[in-house]
Amino acid sequence: MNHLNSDDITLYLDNGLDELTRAKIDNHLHSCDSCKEKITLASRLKTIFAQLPEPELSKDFTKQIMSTIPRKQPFKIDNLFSYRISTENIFQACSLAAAVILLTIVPNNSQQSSLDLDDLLLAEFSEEESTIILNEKVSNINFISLGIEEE
Amino acid sequence: MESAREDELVIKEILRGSGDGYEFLVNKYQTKIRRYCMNMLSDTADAEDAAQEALVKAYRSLATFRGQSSFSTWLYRISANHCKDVLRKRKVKNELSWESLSRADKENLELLFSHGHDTSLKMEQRETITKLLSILPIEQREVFILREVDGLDYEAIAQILGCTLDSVKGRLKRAREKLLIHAIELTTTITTEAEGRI
Repeated sequence: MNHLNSDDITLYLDNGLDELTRAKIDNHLHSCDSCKEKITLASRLKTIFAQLPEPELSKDFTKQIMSTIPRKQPFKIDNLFSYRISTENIFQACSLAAAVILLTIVPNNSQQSSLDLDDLLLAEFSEEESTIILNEKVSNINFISLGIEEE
Repeated sequence: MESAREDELVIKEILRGSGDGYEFLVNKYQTKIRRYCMNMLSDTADAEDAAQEALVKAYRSLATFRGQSSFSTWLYRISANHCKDVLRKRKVKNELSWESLSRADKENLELLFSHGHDTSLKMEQRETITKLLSILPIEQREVFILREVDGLDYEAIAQILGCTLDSVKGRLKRAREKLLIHAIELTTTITTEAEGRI
């Protein structure tokens, strides 16, 4: 049998091998000190990371978080990505379009407002992803706004 | 009750106006999130801030949580992205070179690699291990931590990081290889040096 590669080592340690392959590797390990050393080290690395002690952080961690959030129902907003423009909510759509356009063209002094919107809608995404999504949204809303003007 | 179902019920309660319900979720997930942030950022103060900010961010966005993944996965995703933002904004280099680890760190690691450890790791050893994680590029580090420290499966990691399973496997493989190469190099070098002294 050839020397073990990193895939063999990973599968061996993750118990991801069939019995026959595992037996072949066990046989090889009996006669190959180099591979035996690799498996031993890889296994120790795995154990060390799996057993890392918890970091010591402040004891009032939860309290600090709870003190910063309002104890009331968070502002609920429909998923902006599936927002539909209809005759009933056309005014809301225009307001939203204006708000988003303002947030994108007003320079840095409105950073706090911009962050609020990110926090509310785009927390799942990194800033890079958020920028792309917001730009797409502004394009869509501009398009919708143009459509309304034409009517 | 199944954990994910329990979370969904708590979230519904919070959205109906029970702000206290979030305390339950914070207590349930804070250890995981704090640990993840600590391992990603390698700095206790930054990790504490990042974990708090991620949990507050999650609360503010709770109304957009659709239940397409578990709350745990969603929370990890918010934390992972927040940590990446923190790392991107840092002025110092986020990825250490192996050579930049101190002699003391390397001796700590050599001890761990050569003899394993019977009892739990001491804090100074923990710090060394965290530094060791910093030699991995961010993309490899996040996958490695989610798999090897947090014990998540490949599918969950792919959901958290918004990438494919193949990408998860590839990054994990490269991270393991890099650490193993240094572990072999370290144990060999120090053994050779010790033999030289004798």
